[in-house]
Amino acid sequence: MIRRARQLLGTLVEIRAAADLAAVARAFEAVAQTHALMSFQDPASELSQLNREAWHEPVQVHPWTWRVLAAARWLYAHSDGAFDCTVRDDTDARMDALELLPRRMVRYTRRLRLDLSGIAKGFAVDRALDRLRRSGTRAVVNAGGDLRVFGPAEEPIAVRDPDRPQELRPLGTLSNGAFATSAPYYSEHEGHWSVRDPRCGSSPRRYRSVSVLAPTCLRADALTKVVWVRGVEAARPLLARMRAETIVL
Amino acid sequence: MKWRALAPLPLAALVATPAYAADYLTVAQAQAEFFPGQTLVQVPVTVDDALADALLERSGVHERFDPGQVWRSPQGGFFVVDHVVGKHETITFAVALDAHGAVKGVEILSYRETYGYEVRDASWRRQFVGKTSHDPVKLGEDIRNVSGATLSCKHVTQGVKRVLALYDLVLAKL
Repeated sequence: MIRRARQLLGTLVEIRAAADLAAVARAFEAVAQTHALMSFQDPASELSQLNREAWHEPVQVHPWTWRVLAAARWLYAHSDGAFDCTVRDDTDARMDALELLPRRMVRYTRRLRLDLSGIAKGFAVDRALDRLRRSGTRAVVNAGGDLRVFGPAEEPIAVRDPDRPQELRPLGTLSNGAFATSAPYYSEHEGHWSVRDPRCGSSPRRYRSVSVLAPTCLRADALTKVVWVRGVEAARPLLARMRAETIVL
Repeated sequence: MKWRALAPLPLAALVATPAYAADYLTVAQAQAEFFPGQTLVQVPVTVDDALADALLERSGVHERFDPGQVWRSPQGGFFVVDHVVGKHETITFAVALDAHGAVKGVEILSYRETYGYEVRDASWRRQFVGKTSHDPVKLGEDIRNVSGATLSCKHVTQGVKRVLALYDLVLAKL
């Protein structure tokens, strides 16, 4: 097993794989490319271009950006608006102002900005895993806590203790699936943290930590936000539809 | 997808394991990847106060540079091992430079999560320098897949900046 780490997506991205070094390098490149396309902070990213221009005229986007936008739009429509990538401070426009047109053209029908942080990291993990499974038999990609396992080997999964995040609590084992967690520790700032309720703008407090198991890391990553905003019970039909389960602490 | 949950014990009944640590590459492995087939020679570097101040100013890294971690390749490239200390973690990394001082690559050698009181203790920090995968720190070495809120760690970028500053100020003149 090769075990490598890079600083990408503003965090530590770790790959463990029974694959060759070239495949591991290609997997890291997939993460870097996702970041280059969908970073909210980087003014040169395709997302930043959309946020500047798509309100004036449609913009054609890369197939990966298209997939993430389509997934985000679908999740918005099927979560009663609980999953919403619009930056709330700017505008009261919501994700239904995002239009996906033929030929991967994207238009905003209202002036808004999208921040794909709540879904793009999971997508990056999935793309990295794609490149590893072409040339190997077993792999784990972990981008700062959002992870995906390829292969039948049962990988033990631990989650950070939300009260003492440097202590780890083993939860179980996972094979051929993804696991993601969202929680306030590490991102708490002036009463808010990275997840916001799109209806009121405040950060939900109903749990201390929300984890989601799903077939893909995009789903796991995004669905943690839906569980935070809507609660486990209200989120259950969507979780079932996406073949996901949740573990809240 | 196959998930096998541990027995649903109350959280308090589970044994917590302190901190996460991982080793990725030894110094020798990283050298061999960046400079295959070449024998690197260690280069003595003296860090006086003036150099320390200049490195801090150009990189923002407060930790004092460890001068015993610089090597040179027969073709003029350099290999530098350094570490950066974040709020929760210490990352040891290697930077390979070509003969013109351009970055050939950066590899993370090891990652250690740290408690606040331990980070402040320099001797505790020093134990990680030169650690290899043959003498792993016992802390949490069996836990490999950790999920949780994203821990932001961006200090490696600053660390690479410091190595480039070291090249400009010292290595390029050797």
